[in-house]
Amino acid sequence: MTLEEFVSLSAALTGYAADVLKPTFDTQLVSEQLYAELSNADNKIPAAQLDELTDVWASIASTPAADMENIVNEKIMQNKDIARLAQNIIYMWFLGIWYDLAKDPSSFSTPNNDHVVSPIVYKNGLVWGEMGAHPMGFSTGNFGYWQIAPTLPPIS
Amino acid sequence: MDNSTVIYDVVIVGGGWAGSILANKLAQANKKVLILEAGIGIDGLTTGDSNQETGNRGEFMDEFFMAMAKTPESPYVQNYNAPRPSVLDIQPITNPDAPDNCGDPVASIKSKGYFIQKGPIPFGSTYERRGGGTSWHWLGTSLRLLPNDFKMKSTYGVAVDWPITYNDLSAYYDQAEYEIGVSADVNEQKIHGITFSDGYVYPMAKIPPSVLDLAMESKLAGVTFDGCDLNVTGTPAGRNGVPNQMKEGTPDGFYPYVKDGFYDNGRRQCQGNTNCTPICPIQAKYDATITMSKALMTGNVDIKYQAVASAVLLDSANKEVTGIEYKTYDVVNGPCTGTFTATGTKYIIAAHAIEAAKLLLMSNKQLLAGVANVSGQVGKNLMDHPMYLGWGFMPENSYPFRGPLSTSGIEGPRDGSFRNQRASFRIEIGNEGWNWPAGAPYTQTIDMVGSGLFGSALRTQIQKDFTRQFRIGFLIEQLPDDNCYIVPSKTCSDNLGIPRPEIHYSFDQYTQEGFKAAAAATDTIFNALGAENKTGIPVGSGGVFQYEGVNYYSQGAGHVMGTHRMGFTPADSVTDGDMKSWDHDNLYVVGCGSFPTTATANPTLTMTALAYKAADAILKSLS
Repeated sequence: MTLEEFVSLSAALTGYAADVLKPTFDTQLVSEQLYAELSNADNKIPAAQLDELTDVWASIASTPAADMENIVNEKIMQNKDIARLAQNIIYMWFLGIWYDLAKDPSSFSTPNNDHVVSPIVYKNGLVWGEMGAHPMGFSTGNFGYWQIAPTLPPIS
Repeated sequence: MDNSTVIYDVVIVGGGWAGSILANKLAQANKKVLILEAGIGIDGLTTGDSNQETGNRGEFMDEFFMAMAKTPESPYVQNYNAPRPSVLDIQPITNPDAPDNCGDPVASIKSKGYFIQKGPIPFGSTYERRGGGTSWHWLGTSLRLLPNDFKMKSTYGVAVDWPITYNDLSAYYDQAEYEIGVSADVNEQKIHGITFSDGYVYPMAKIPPSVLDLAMESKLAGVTFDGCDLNVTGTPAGRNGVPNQMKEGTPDGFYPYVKDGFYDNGRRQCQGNTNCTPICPIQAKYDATITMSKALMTGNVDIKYQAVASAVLLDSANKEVTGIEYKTYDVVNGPCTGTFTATGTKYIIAAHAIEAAKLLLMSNKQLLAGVANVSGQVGKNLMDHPMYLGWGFMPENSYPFRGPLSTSGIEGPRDGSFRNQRASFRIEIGNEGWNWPAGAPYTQTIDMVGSGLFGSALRTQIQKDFTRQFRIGFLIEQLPDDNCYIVPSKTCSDNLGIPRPEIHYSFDQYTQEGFKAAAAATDTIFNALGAENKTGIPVGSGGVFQYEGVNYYSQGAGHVMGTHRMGFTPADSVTDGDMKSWDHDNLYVVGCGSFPTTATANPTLTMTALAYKAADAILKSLS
């Protein structure tokens, strides 16, 4: 999977536009860091799974936007061979975390390879902005901002 | 490590909160002070510290960002030569008689934690052992105790009275609030008989309430529980807000931080990072390193980091302390590099409630009772504010994960005639959704994605659920109890060979009735709010106990109290009301361990006031 393919797949999985995930002038390089996790040997991603996800995405990447989520659901999220790998990409974007593929992500069993990808990735986790908040420990608000309701990002 | 050239007036064990306050107060009065701090140094405050473990705030932040479990301990490295407990180690105690198996200290602390927990309920609170102490991860809540909190015996017939009253402490509260920099509104804090001196203003105006606070305030107005109003009020906070104009006639410099008639401590305003615990990224929240810095700048204070007190030494008549024996080390898992003795005229143990009691009990081995322990009360009466958490969905968006972790609370239930039978509590309103009880936003996001949501449906669900999450936390009173105590372990030690704390802990019926009332109050509050109650088994479920057939899950508040209490006589307590040992003329023991009873307010402000009171007594005795 190329970086470009990873970003377009990520857009379909997260509901955010590709140019939001990978802006033209990108000071954070989140997409590069998440993409690198796919080739991180510690993550022990079965090559066949990554190949299948790559091939499936290549076959549906040009689907018209109006049909895209239905196709992604059918071809990826309902495909038990690759659904978990796709979910891991969603977790990375929203939470900044790679969850060990060998266990349930909500389990704390150890040892495991769960890890925050990087401080920058944590600070760019999508879940925080989605709820009108900021990553815990990284606010860009001014004193007192919390007494006024935020504007939530539009969902297309 | 030779200080033979300096004659110290005071040797303080502990460079945390109380130690910093005491050192600064004494140093400002031109006394020479030596501090022995067990942990590693405060970055930037000392030179020549070769320890590579010393971190600055930015490095602590990166540790926090990278931590999978963002616990109070997560930014700070464990130190096996001065270990600290972790909330991750709190597990139900299934077999208290099992052998401790802690032959290898590092491996044992890594696998089971620092405490040797004997139960039946695991002690749920933790602390830091490093320069600045646990102030690194305090929440910032700076409530005063209530007048009745000082006289539980005479008012309600339970526990003991304090040897001092609210009025005795009032002026020290003023000092403490100015040193910390508390933001609050005087009129709002005049509850349950609390009074202020004429014209008193807090240093800064109250911190603005959150969207959640405002919704709860309007819906809970006029609602009562067990005869107590459930009004929502702003919580006094040791974090920077908008400076107040000082009362007329306050001279510049009367308090150290008054400039041109306004309070100004030179630090930033709170930016609402929602991260007071475990670490404020911008030091808008006070911590003890600020006061320690001022103390060091006087030139009257020396501090030795990585100096772990191992014994309080007495003269042959056991009348006076003659020195503090301490051990040194170079790296956090390295060997002991020497044993030394620090000497001075007066000695203060300000080492945290558990560590102070442990040190006193480890000392004076020929008299098995330890130092300052003629009463037998050292290490006894270990108390906390065990917390009950309730959580759910608000009926409308209340936007958590914004602002300081808590900006308001419900203080009505802190006092009432029911205190003759059950624990009182205050209710903290959390601004961090279900982060504490249910691992938000991680657990719920995993559940959403795991159930098949992705793309726009996932985004819609996040916006719908996370914007309505909220939790409340009840800080429940505990009474002093002989069954709750800490002793130095006979079998387990840290990497320096110093015994680890063995803890025996439980809840009496008074506190269990408090939990039962907290659960009932949760129903009252959620009904009034129209909220959907989602209270269940919390992530941290180690503190489970059963009462009248119902499971309750207690959480530690981090408020460790009672282990060297003050009192009226040498028979009933470790120190007098000035925190001077009854048994040794030149020894003081200062900290939250001095509290005879817990009350319900977060204890740090009161500990600060007590430290100022002790400092006054010490200065008087030195003059």
